[in-house]
Amino acid sequence: MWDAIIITPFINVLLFIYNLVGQNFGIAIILFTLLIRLVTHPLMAKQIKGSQAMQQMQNDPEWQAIQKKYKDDKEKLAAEQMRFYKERKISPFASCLPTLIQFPIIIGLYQAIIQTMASTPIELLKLVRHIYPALLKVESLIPLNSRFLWMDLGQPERLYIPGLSFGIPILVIIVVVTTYMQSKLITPPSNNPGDQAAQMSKMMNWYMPIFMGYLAWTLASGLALYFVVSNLIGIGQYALLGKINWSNLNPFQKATPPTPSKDNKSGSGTKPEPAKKTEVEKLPAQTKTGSGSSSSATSKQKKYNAPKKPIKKR
Amino acid sequence: MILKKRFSLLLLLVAGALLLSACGGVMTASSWPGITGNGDVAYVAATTYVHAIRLSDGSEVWRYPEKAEPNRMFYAAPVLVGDQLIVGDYRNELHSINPVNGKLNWSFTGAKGKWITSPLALDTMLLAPCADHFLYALDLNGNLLWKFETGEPIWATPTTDGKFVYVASMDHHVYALDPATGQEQWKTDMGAAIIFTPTLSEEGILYLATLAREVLAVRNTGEILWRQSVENLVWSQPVVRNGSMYFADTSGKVYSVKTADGSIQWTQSIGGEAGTAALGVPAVLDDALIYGLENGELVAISYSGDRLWTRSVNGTLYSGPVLAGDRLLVGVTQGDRLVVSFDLNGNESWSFTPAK
Repeated sequence: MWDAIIITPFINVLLFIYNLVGQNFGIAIILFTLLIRLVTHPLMAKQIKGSQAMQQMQNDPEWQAIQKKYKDDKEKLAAEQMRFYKERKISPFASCLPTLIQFPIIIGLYQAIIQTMASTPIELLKLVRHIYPALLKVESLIPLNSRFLWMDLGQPERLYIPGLSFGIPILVIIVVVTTYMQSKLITPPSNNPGDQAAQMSKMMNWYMPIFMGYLAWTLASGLALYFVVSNLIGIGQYALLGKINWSNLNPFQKATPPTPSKDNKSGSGTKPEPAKKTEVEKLPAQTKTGSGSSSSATSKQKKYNAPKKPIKKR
Repeated sequence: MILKKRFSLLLLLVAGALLLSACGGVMTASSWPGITGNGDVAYVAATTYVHAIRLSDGSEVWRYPEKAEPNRMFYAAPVLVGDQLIVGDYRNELHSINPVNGKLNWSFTGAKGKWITSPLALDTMLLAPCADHFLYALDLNGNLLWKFETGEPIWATPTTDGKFVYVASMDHHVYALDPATGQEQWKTDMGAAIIFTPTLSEEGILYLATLAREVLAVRNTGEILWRQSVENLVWSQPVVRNGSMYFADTSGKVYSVKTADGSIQWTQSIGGEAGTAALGVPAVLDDALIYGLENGELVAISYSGDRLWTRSVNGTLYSGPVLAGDRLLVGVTQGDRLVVSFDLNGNESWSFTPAK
C-alpha cells in the first residue's frame, strides 16, 4: 500500500528526472527534492504560519499573565487557554495538520532516494520491481550512474587531496553548517523566560547539526546531498515567507524576530503587537465576571495571522 | 531540570537515529546467505558472521569473526582453496580464514567496494570481483598480482574454460581476460546489466541472463549466438544440461530452451497463482532442479517440466538450495532459522539457528 502509493511513484519520478538530466543522479536528487518541496510548499507555509501563531501566543503578555495567574489550577488554565484560542482565532492544529500531511511525503522522498541508490542484491531486486516498464527501461537505467562531482553517491563522501593521507568530509561540513543555519534562522524568538519549547529549540540548534553531520558521515553521500538540498530549500521557503532574520546567525547577538516583508499585510513574519497593559490589568476582573464575554472579546479580538498594525521593534 | 531536558533530548535524538536507520534499511538483509559445502562441513556467510556447520547434525563448529562488527556483513558464499577459506565482506575486505578453526590467515584491504560475490579459485590464484568495478587477481597469500577495471560493479563470479577468464559486469559487458596477465582479449555488449555468473557449457558457450529480460548464448569468441526475450525479469542463473537451458523468472515461471537456438521447449509455472518469484541459483540434481521461491517454498521440477515435490520453510528464499554431499542446504532470509537441511527427496533433517 505504502509502496504502491508513495514509494513506487516517487522512485519512478526520480528515475524519470535522472534520465531527463542525462543520467546524473546528483542533479536528479537536487531536482526531485526541489520538486517535492515545491509541491508541499503550501502545506509548509500553513504549518509555518500556524506554529508562528502558537509561538506568538507564548510571548503574549496577556497569555503569560494568565499562565501566571492560574499556574496552580490546571483546569481553569485549560479553559482560559481555549478562550484565548477562540478570541485570537488561533487553531492549535493549524501547524499539526499540514505537518501530518507532509510527513509521509517527506518520508517517501527520503525512502525513494535510499531505495534508488541500491548497492546490494536485494536492494537492486526491489528497485527493479519498482520501475514502471511502460515509463522507464531497466536496461538503460541499471546500474545508476552514482558519480557526482568528486563523490560516489552510494558511498560516504570524502574528498582526497594529493599529499593528504585522509579524506576531507566536505559534504559533512556543509550538512552541519546548513543544518545549523536553518535551525538558527527559523527558530522564532521567545521573550518568555519560562518557555520550555524555546529552551528545547535552543538545545536542538546545537544537537541537530551534530546529529545530521553524524548521519552524513556514515550514510551514503546521496543522502547527505539530500540533507544539504533540503536544508537550503527549507531556508529558502522561510525566506520567501519573510520568516527569516539573517542577524540570528550572529552568535554574539540575541535572537531577534524576523523582519517583516514589505507586503506583509497578512502579518506573516511579524512580531505580535504587545497586548495593551490595561487589557492585562483588566483581566482578573473579566475572569471574575465570566471570561470571554462577547463584548470584551470583540473589542480585543486580534487574529495572530492578521495583525492590522505595523510592527514596532522592542 | 536542564540536565533532565538535555537527557530527554538526547533520548529523542537516539530514537530518531534508530528510526532513520530503520528507514535506511541498514538493519534489514542486503542479500541472502552464501553457502558452500565441503566434506562434512558447510560454511555459511550470513549477516555479521561466517559459520562453519557440521553437515551431520547442523551444530556450529566455529564462527568468524569472534565478535560481530558494525556494517561488516558477509553474504558471498565462502570459497575453499587448499587450506584456506576465502570470503569477502561489505566493508571492502577479503578474508582468508583457516577452515579448521576459523582463525584469520590474512586479509586483502586494497579494494574500495563491497565483495558481493565469491572469488573464482584457480590453482595458484584467486580472481575476486568487487563492486568497486575491479576484478582483483591475488596470489594465495593475498598479494595483488593484477587488477582489471570494468565500467560498473561486478556482482558475478568469473568463470573459466582454462584458457580465458570470463567476467560479466553490470556495465552490460562480458569480458574475456588472460588469467596470467589480466589482459583483455575481447568484450561484448549484452545490452543490460548482468547479475549472475554466466554458465559455461562443455562446448565453450556462455549462457547468461540480463536485466533486459533476456537470456543470451555467447561463443567463447565473444559472438552472440542467440538471444531470447521473456516476459518477466530473470533473476537467476541459467542451468545447462543435455542440450537444454533452464532458467526461472520473477513470476515463478521455469523455462526450458534449446541451447542450439534459444527456442522455448516448455514453460512451467511453479510460482502458483500469485506468481511468486523463483530467484537465484537452483540446485542441480540428476533428475530435478530445485528452485527456491520468494514465499519460502522449495520446488523440485523435473527436466521435462513436471513438478515433483514442494516443501516450505518460514522466511524468504532469494536463492535455491546448495547441494552439499547428499543434502540440500537452504539459506533462509528473514526467517526463524538460517539454514535448513533436506535430503534429496525433500525430507527435512536439521536446521541451524545461530546462537546470539
